[in-house]
Amino acid sequence: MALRLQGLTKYYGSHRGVEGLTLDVRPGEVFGFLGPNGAGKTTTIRMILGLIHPTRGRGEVLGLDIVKDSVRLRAQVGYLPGDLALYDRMQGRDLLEFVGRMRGGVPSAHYEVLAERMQLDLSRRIKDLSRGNRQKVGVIAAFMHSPRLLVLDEPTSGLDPVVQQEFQRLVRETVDAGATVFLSSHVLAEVEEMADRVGIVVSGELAVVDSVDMLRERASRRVELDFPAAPPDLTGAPGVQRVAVHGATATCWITGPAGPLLKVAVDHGVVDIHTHDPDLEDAFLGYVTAGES
Amino acid sequence: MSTAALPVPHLVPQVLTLTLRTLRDRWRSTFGWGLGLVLIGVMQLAVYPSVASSSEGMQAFVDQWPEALQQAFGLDAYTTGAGFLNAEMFSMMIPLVLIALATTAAAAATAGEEERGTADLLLSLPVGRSRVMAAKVAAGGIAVLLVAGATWLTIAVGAPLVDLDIAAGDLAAGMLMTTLLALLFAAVTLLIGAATGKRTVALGVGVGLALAAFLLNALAPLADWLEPWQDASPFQWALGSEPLVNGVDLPMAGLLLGLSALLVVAADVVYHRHDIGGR
Repeated sequence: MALRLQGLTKYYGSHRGVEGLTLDVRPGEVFGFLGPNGAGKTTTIRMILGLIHPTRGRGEVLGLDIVKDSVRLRAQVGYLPGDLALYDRMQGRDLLEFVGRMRGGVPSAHYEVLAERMQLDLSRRIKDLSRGNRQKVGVIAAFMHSPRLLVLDEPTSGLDPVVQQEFQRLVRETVDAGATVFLSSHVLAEVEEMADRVGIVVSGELAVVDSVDMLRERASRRVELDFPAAPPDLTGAPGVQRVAVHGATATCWITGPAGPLLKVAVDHGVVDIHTHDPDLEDAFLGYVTAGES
Repeated sequence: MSTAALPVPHLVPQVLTLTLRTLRDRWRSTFGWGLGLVLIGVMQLAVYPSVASSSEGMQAFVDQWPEALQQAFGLDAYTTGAGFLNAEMFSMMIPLVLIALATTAAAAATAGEEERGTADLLLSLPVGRSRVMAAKVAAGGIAVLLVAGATWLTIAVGAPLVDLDIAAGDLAAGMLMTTLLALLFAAVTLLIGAATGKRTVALGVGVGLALAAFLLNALAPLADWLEPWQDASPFQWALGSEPLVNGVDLPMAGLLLGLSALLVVAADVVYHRHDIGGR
């Protein structure tokens, strides 16, 4: 396994960070680690990097223990912190050279090429860079040594859409070259686009792990039905999970085929139908609300 | 390319890289404190001829003071070269500036990185915390030695020009004992910083202890009840034997150095267990 967590638990005093996290990330996959802010995503990542120590449980990266083999582990990992802080007085180039030296020497060509791709001026001082450009420095620092595991905490925050696309291409290329990606985010769209599998963490506990396709299949789709007058009662129609009525419009959340519902609607003289793509956001929010209640 | 294990970097180049990085990060503050001490040294040397030329009057004036006060302000041999330097530079200015420089460097070492958030970047690299500690201690030590060395050079070169009689070796002994004193308080600061990750807490404890030790040493001769406690002050350990006259006090130098080393080892142990705080 590229990453294996077994019952990983972190308490800050009596405050729970994460509890009993068990998770396998396969080599070569992009694993989306989803959850609302404060769910324990960053706590988990900081344990993997050895910045904080687990209260209980254990973890491995490529067979290296997150506590005992932390330094060797970190040699294999590229990390982009969620709350990125850099040495502000340095130029971008000096910072990347420093990071490269601390990694035992990374040829300057590696980060020069990446800087060109991300259109980043390495001669500027970091404190003079915009938030998006600082984030680019962080991305390059995480990718430049061709790590075997990339741990990315909210990676595209602050990046403009064009750069986000370039970033996603970079992630795909890195995966194609054999690396594994552990991608944390509270933004579903970001994960949905890149991840093969997703784990959803809520209040410090893992709510579900599944492929993006399976989640999408299970996710309810939204169908809006306009009727000439007050809508009929659709709660009993096959596949309907939930119904909300506003005036003459009934909004239904359905799983499975839409045919049976549409048949009932047609029978009641439906005027217009709006369907929406299955949305992981709904699945995500479903888990979050279920987990928090 | 991503399937072969990436090697762990070698010790020496890694520690050297971080040491140089830290020195570059702190050179402004180091240069500032150094320049300050050098200028104070130049100023004191400049006024020495007028002190020496009125030496009888000056000594008579000083002699009127109660003996305890003379001791407290290091005035008991004011008009000799060593006495003058002791009173004007070594009893307060040099130790306090070196302590300020050393403790700020120690507080910045781990706690400062943590507060700025750069510890996340640094410690996500394949570098053990002991290596980080070693590099930070080396950088802080070099900064203090550079400032102490510049001050020594200024006085050693300037003293003959104003007929101030001090042996370069005795001057070096005074500088060394003062440097060791500063390192002790820096080591305390380092330990608190490694344990708490809070720069201001570390600096507060380190500087607070230093000021308490300074006041204890200065005021002990003035109060009977305080006098037995003077030996508890590291200022007394470092400067009580008058190194400007008697050279290095080896047992006391060993005590200061040994205690500092113990504190650094303790800081390293504590740092390993410390959870790096997120911002």
